[in-house]
Amino acid sequence: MECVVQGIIETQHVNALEILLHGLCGVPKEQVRVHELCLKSGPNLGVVPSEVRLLCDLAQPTPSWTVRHVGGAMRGSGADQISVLVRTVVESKVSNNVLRFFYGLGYKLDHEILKVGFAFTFHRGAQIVITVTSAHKMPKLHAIEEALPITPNIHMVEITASATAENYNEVVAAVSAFCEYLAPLLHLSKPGVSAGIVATATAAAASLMSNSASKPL
Amino acid sequence: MHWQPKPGTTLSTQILTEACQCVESIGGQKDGRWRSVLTFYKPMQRDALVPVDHPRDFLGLALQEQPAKYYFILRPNRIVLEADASIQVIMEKLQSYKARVTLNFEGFQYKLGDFQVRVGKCVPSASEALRGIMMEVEYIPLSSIDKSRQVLEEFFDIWQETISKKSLPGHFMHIESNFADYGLQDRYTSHHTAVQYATCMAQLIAAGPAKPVHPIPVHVYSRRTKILPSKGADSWMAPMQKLSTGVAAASQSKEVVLRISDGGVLGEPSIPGGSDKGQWPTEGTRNWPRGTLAPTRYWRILKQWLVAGLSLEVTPDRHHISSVPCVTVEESFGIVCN
Repeated sequence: MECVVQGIIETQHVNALEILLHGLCGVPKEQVRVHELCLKSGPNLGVVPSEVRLLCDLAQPTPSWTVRHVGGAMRGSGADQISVLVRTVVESKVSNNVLRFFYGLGYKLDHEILKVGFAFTFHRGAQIVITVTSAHKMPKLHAIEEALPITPNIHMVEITASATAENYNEVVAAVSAFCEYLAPLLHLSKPGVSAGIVATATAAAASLMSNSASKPL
Repeated sequence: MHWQPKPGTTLSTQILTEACQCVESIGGQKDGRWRSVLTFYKPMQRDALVPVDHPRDFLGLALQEQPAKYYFILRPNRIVLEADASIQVIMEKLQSYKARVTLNFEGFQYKLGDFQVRVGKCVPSASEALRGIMMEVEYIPLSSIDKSRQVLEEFFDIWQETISKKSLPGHFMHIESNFADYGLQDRYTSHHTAVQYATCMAQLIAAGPAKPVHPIPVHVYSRRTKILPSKGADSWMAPMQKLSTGVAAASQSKEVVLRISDGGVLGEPSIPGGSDKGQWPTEGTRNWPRGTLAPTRYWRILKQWLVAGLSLEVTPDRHHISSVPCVTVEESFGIVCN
């Protein structure tokens, strides 16, 4: 399972966020360029309609494919009280014919996007991954070279951390604690519960940028 | 390679024992056990009446030499997919296809000079019924299929000569897989092995299961469930997708109970075939013969019902344990869907 929170930030403040994250994480950033295809089961296939995501990592010299299944979120009063979503996620690295395979099984392409941005992976109470990406749409099927930003002025920020049934409380605490460091720039919440942009972002970003100008990275 | 029994003969573990002795007689040294697991995945449909455009089944394969990997083979589309073993969990969560029948390939691995030889039996996971005997030969120094062809053919000739001295009722048969169809190159990989398993399975299925030598007790009941539209003789396999409930349990049972859907939707469809036509089972099937049927008649009737487009469910009769041998439906038909 994984713990996840999401938020949005204006594109003009992404550089400031990167500076902040670099300082907090102490690791170099990784490029993110992922072609994500969302497939849904065809009519009459399966006990219930199902959805699976195929991720093609284009940041590597040789693209690699992953199948990702996102399950239901943890429920109950305990889950409601925490600000982080805990859900089951299963991933599997697969060979590059996976799209043809799922088409063969009767799955249909629902939509595809290209996520472009950067990520930091670090350890702070738990292994945490924070990705900052811009979602791009493709004018033609699979035409990733022609992809255009869907929301040019907005970037998506996501923090995920893998957890188990035994330790998710500690992981939630670690993610929540990290979110607080980012609070001046953006607010992170459970997926689907958008908190919008933060009013203090402009001032915080300006402060970060002026500080970084005197202390080159 | 798979063991092709002579017509009219049945498989037995004795053949496997003899084959192992043959490997040892030509210098093979036991190098541990061998185990691969092959699973038939079948679609789960929401509505049996709606036409589908997905495959009737596909194969999943776990190889001992690649414990972290799993392979799917979609034969109609000529696709072999390599994935992390966790893909099995994803398939389970999707609930679109279900692992229906699992076959274990179990045996021994031998070192024989530059060759690695594996000999083993193919048995369903839920029963001890012997479904086939398999053999794998690998020439370790070369990974090029073309370059190793000659040396493997020579090995095969020596092997056939050795095994023929045992006067066993059958022979090992190698069916060439068309790797190019699957987009595979000359350098041998586990993808190639997966394709070979699929080819071999097709052969085992075509050869058919060993027929029971004793009558099988058959109890026929009727039950109101959905009826598939009549398919016609050419597509009589299609309703087999409904053979689901209790299949795994059935294979452990001494007896199989067939629950036949009628529902009255189709009225009284004509059943292809002649003499075994019998009375169409109506609600309650009181006029359908209960009791013991001869195996040949049993399968003929079952097939005819499938031709007529009936949906079937198979469940074990837990209240009536018989001592006669059992041939379960998934053994005789479920796999035939491939």
